[in-house]
Amino acid sequence: MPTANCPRCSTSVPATALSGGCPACMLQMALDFAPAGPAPERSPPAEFRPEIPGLEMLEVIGRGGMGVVYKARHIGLDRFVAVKFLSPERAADPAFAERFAREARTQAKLNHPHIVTIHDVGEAAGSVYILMEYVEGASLRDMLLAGRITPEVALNLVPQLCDAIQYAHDRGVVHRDIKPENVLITRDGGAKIADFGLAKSDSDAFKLTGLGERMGTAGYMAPEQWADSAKVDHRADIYSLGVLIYEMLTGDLPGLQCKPPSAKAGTSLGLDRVVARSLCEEPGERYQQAAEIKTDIQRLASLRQRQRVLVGIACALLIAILVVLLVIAVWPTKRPPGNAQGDPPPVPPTRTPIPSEILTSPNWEWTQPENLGPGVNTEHRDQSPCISADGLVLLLASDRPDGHGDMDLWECRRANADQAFGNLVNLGPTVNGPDPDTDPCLSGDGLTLVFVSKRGGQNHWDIWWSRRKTTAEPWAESENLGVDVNSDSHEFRPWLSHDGLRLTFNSLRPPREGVWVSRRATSGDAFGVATPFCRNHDRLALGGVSFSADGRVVLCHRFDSKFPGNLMWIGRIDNPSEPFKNLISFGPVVNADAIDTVPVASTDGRTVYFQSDRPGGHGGSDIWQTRRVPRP
Amino acid sequence: MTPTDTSGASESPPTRFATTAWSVVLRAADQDAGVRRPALAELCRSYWYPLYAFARKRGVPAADVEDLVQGFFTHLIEGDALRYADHRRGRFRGFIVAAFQQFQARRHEYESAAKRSPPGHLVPIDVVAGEARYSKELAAPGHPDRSFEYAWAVTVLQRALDRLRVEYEAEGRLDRFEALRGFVTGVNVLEYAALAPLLGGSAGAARVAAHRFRQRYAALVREEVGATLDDGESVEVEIGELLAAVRLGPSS
Repeated sequence: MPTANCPRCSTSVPATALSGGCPACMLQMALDFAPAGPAPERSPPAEFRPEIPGLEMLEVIGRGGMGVVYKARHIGLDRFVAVKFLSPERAADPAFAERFAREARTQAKLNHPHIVTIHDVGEAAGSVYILMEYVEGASLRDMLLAGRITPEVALNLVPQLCDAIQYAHDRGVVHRDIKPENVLITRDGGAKIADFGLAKSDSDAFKLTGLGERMGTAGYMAPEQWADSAKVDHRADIYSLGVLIYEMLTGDLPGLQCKPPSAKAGTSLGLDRVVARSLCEEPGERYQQAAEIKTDIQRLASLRQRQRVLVGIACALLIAILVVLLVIAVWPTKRPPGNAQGDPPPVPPTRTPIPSEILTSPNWEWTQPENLGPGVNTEHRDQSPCISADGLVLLLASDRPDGHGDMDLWECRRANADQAFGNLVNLGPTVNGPDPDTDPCLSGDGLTLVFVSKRGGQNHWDIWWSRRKTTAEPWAESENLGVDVNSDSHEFRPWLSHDGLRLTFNSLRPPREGVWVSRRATSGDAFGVATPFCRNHDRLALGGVSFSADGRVVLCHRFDSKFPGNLMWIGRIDNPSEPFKNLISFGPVVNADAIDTVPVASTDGRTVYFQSDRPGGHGGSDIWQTRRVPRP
Repeated sequence: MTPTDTSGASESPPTRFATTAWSVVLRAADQDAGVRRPALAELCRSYWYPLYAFARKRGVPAADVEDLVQGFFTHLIEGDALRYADHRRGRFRGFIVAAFQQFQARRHEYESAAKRSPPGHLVPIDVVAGEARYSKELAAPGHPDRSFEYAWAVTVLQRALDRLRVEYEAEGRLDRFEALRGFVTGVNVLEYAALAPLLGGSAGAARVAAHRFRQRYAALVREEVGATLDDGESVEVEIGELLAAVRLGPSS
């Protein structure tokens, strides 16, 4: 349903709120009608004249919320320099001052003709200062306001900016606040980028939070920067550069209008594509390197010559393709056994990789997840899978209506690994009760089963278990694991090691949710008092922790705002005291824009089962699998 | 179609407004649940709609979203789940959406199979109105973050407008509010000369009244925004970010 657009600024106007007002105009008004009186950060003392040995301070050349910039003469070298002073209020905060200095050091590593050079950083007059190159000229902002930027001028400046940005990116430095105020234009028409990684505050607002997060200026910020997420990398600069190019070509910011530069300034369609690609919302769809923008701009400039070159390349490609086809037709087809074809084998051909290697080796990859099908999944909630050591029995919890209670434990079997799992069978009343039971886990020998339940009228989940003498027998009456393991808070996702002697689980007991562990000496013993699983066990916000059969790989789900779409994680355990150190995401093939949780690995390391509510299931949450195959 | 009046915008004007809520929540010690919970409940009561829009945009069907959002608020407030959320708490706006996603991811661990709603919701959600609003404004395909931020900004502005209205109403000058409202919304703005009789004086007095009206509104917007920030965070920054977000539109 279309909504109206504001006649002043084209922003979408909500249909059912604000009495027809435009949210952009109203917010702008709130900014414009700021309360009278200066905010403390905005007006540093007017007569603050710092003394620095060896420098003759001349005049103020700029003011910002962070401090003041002076022009000075370096007496020894008889040249002009610029000195940026952190304002005394800010300098009083040691963390802030340290960060200011550290950023200066970062920029000082950048030595490039199109980046303002940092000469020194120091302390004087009760504050911190940065000594830098003095640039004779004006800011790009001033030039834009004066109407001095034509498309020709812009296209001359852009490659220089790309060089500077690429140079910095290559050294791991992201600017994060590229805007016309931060670009200086020298007398001979060259560009220099200032304030690389430096904090700066002016009326468009830019601040450091306590955790070192920095936000750029609203009009130039990449979408991922607004979301306050740390999913911000060098591609945010690509976006800001795109905004800058647009503004240089048209005099306006992009924004809702979506009018390409060709429509506003009569520039070429090729430039439209450059700008559009820089301004993609998804970082992955933008130019990935600033150098690519330069390449495209320069290419557009010499299009005809390029066309000739392209024709030549097309011919060469055609010949190359013919050659490849010829080679394929003629190449001998024998391959070494048991390994990817043609590649040098990653391990000696006679050694089969062990399961935990398969799970984490970069020579293997995940397949597109598959739903386990209607024999396993129902239109109800099917969750928390667990696979037996021989891979022939799959356990899960489901709230399908024909169980003993609200949610029950079920299992399904198959005769061999090539078959699908058969229909679900309830684990029976010795295990399941009228209250919800979920999160089953089986020991390697199949003789111990742990799960969580709310039975006994509790309002929190506790870990229960049941045992049997042989896998052919029914399960004995289940029991609560008792106060050594359970608390008054929730316990979830209990996981037995392959030998059944170690039990890990998530617990919400105070002070903070974490991962706990309880052990027993032999299968005949009870589990001992639970303790935290590792250092920082309560700082990682993990859930659904499970392990490979050999205990060398850990799997879990975790919401990390840096990777909001990627919930499932897997990691090799190199050091048992830091089991979560090497967690990596399952990646984009497996993770979908859905809730994917509780991954568990088969014993042979070739399959991971998990729970997901992604489309393509049977309703509710379902059990899915992804397999591990050698990378081609 | 003229949009509905402020008081018809999905909820009746709240009588109590949280002006220091988020920093209170963050400052309260672990054991000060009695302080933290009401403040958090107040914030959730104010900003449930952007979260609703976010959930719907992420594909949660209308039939399930009330349960999900209520469950989340219960988990957040009753379950004192501040401890379990993403450790970068930051502003309330960022926190609530991150905590909500985390809740959604771990939901199977937190909810019971039997869907029993707790008696007396901590956070009243008018789902019917919320869904009506959502389908009118935000149902076009787009990114959930965009819808969330757009709805958030609109909620801030609407709350400030409601507060301003309540102030004028308390003085028995609702007709003044109606006449001056255009200076804030930009809709049906009257000429100062036309306003003069209503505002009991000259065009000059009308101009002053309009100016004061805008200033008061701006102050209320800043208070609303400030309530969602931690101490020392800049209201200007937050408003600037909301402005940038709003310009991109609700569903782009």
